[in-house]
Amino acid sequence: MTVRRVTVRRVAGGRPGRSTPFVVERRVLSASLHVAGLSILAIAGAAAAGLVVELLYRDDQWPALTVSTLGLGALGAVLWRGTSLPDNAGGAGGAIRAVGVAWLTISVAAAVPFVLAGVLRWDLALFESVSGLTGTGSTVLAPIEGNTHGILFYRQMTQWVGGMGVVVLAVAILPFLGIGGLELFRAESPGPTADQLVPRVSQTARRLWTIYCSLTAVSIVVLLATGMGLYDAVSHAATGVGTGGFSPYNDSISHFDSATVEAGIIVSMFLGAVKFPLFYAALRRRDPGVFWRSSEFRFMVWIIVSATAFITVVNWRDGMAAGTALRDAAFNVVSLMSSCGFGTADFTQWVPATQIVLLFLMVTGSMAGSTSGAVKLFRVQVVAKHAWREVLRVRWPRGVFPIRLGREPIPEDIVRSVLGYVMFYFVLAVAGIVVLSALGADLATSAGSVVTAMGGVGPGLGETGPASNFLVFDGVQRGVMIALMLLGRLEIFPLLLFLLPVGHRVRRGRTRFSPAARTHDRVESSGATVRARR
Amino acid sequence: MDRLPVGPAPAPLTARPASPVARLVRAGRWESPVGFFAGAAVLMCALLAVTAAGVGLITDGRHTGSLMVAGLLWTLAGGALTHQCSVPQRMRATTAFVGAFVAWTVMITVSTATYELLGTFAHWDDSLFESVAGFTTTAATVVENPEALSRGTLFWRAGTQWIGGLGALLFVVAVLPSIGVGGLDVTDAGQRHSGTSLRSRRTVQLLRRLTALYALLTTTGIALYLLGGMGPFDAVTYAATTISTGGFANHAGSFGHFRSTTVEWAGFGGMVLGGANLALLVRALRPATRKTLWRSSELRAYLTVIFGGGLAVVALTESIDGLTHESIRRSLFHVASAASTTGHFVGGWGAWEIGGQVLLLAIIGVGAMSGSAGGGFRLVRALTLVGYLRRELVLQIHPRAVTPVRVGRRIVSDALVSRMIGYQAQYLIVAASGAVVVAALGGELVTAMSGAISAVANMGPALGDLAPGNGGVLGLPRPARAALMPLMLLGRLEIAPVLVGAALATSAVARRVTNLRRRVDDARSSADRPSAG
Repeated sequence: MTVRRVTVRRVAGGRPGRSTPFVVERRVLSASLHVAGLSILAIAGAAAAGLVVELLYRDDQWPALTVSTLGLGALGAVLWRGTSLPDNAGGAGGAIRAVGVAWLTISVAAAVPFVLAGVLRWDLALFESVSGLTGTGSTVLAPIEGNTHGILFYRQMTQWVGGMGVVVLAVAILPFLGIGGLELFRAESPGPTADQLVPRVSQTARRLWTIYCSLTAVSIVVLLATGMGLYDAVSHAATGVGTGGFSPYNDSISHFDSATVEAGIIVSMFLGAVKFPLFYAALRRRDPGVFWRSSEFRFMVWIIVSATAFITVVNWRDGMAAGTALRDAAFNVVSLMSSCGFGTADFTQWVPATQIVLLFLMVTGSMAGSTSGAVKLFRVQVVAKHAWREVLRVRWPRGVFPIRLGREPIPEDIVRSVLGYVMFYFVLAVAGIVVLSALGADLATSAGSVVTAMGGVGPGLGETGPASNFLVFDGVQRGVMIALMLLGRLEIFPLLLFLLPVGHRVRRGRTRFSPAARTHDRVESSGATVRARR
Repeated sequence: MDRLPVGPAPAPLTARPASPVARLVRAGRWESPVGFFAGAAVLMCALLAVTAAGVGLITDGRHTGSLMVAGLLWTLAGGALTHQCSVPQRMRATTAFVGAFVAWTVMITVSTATYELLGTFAHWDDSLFESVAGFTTTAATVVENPEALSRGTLFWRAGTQWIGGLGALLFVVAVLPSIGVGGLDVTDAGQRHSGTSLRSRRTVQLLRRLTALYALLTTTGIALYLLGGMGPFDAVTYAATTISTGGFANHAGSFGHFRSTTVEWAGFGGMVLGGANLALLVRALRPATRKTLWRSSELRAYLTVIFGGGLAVVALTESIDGLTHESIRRSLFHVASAASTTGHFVGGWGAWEIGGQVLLLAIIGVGAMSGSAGGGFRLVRALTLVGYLRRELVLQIHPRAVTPVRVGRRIVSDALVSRMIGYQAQYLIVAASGAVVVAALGGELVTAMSGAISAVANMGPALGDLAPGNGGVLGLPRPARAALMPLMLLGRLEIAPVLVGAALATSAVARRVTNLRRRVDDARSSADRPSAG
């Protein structure tokens, strides 16, 4: 990480009416620390929300929450105000660094309240905080219900903040110049569809957060209408739209034991699983048809319906009552596919075929540009179409088969990067499964856990199913899970490039992979050259 | 599927009018490469049946009559087909797919009929399953106790795998790359010529040479097993199923039956050879090219997988066996079995700690080297995938960088990379949907997932109920077992050719039926007209 001390001129606050003198001040120029500071402030905000709830319920964990709020707030403020943004964030390399630093910092920061409150040991607290921020929802808090409202509410809020992404929040607030903001934005919520809603990336980020807040508000109203209390409604709306899946109850959604509540939660999760730009477009054009015109949306609905039908039928034939089968199937399909992870039934007890289908749903995830995790349906579509295209190419070796989603053919370089990402995901998952099994988990458990961690879902299969928690794992296995959760949330590349030494080389532009492109890249990636060109 | 028999061939100008019978049996009357391939496949089976009958005659004398009858039948059928059909000078690439699909279908049918003739199984679907497993070189057997079978039957069973291995070798290694399909032509056995003629001298030469090498390798295997201490019959059959990476065994305990260290080491060597690239093995024979052997990154990867995997398995299962000569030997044996997708075993891995088993499953999924009869995703594709992923990392930072994907030192073209990734995606989709189907038809969770992967990789044994010693596929319900059959076939012929071949064959048959119906209708209407008038 390069932190440069440079002299900047700032306007010192003079008295109004007088000429304001320039003073020379030494400040640290670092996008990473700046963004990290702001992200920590977001965590402090979550802690503050927890504190408010704690005070309202007159519970006794308020000192811990106060200390965390103030401490994190102070730390964040110091980092934020004490540093300045450089003229640009240093291209893709700088953005990766900033996002990497920010996520590692907040992972630790978000664990602080749990440790201070004495709820969890430090390593478990780290797991819980990473699980929260990445929107996973795998928990090591057991029992959940013994804890105070404030701590639990804070836990919910980490998922809400992490759902949209702290860096997107930072981009929304910070006055990024040049391309830096977009790179940051892409590094945290990447994918082929980090489309901008409006030309300015900060406005895009702001609008995304507005949509997110509105969806959460809608979801709160829906949940209130299903008969939940305000606390429950806010808690579950936050983790539902954020597709996190934490619940303040041991039994998750089955605590309410009500089909209406489940329907409300399904709505909430579904909202979180839809690509946010679609909401914007629908509002902007006053045309709800934009949803159905999106081929990814149709694909999602098709998968939800067919998977629900399949699971319902299989479970029904296995002896489950038809109504229960349908209700559980619908809820769990939406829950796992949106990578939310709320639970109403222990699907590890279901017929194996349904579990495999659920496992695949955890891999596919929902629409790109939503809060859901995993591979995302857009990519699944591209990969499936590419596989089919290769079959066609065997038949007609000289044919040209563009991959289309809807009417638009997708550019080949995007196809290439999508395939690359999916293959990376796959290889990483296999590696994770082998490692977790080598550490002693059986195949179903390790496959389920790896998939759930990378997709940010929550429950796994086997021993880590919805009726269980991740205390069945030992410390090393949980460490693997933490790494996989972070990798999955940031879509692998940013964190991998940040952590791997190879990434270090690549970031510096000294790659041995691309001798031909070296000079060209150096111009692209090095901030100095770019500035000189200006 | 371009020129299948459509109407009579134009009679040569100088030919004198022949009798209808003579015209019907004239050699090469139908210009149908597919028919010719099918006939050749049947003739192979006939040859095998006759040999099996001979072996039966020498050994236990059981089933020789039935095998002779089968041999006679298949000789007649195959002879008729090859006699009647001719291969045109130029063929379209797609003909090869139809040919392969039809050839495999015919071989499987013939083999099923043979098992029925021999009365080996109580149910015809078991005969079918055993045939599919045989010709796809998968070690999934529904024979509960092979020792009870006659020698002739065992020889036939092993022979199906040998033929399947040879067929796969010729098809996947020689034919597919020569027409630019499947993305395996970075191999040394593969060649790059743009023509689509399958009768080009190079292709024919390559086919011949591969067959000779395959036979030579099998002989080496036989010698290895004889030296290891097997009897002649066992040596021949085990070598056939090892070099073809099939994995059928004459004993329920597979190699564990022999209780001999030397036999196990011989089996290890045979499996390593079976999964290795034939072209590379040729290089090893000539002193001049021996040194270039190590330049092959695929070979290095193959040996790394076997020995590294063996050591990892030893490390992962150490708490069970301890670090002894036996545990190392067994680990290496099973890892070689998995890496070459053979499926022989000594005691099996059902009792291993789970980490070793999952590692083994991953090795099965990757599979053998290109240019071998082994199955799976194949190492060269895995290496290309690694290169591709590495480039993706670079492109994350330098989106406009121009970097080729390399395997070793060789640059792989983007078109080829795209094909390989496409194959990887197909492989995943087939295995995933296979797992769902197997589970829906009654397989357990782990069994279904690992069984589907193992079937697509043409391995056979897998984890859970499918681990060797846990009953194998016999433990699966019949419908689930049936679901494995298409997976094996898809995996053996590299997925897309099967789909294309099946589609083309179906449409050709449909067209033929329509034509026939039209002709009948025409004849009927022309017969009607005079009476109407």
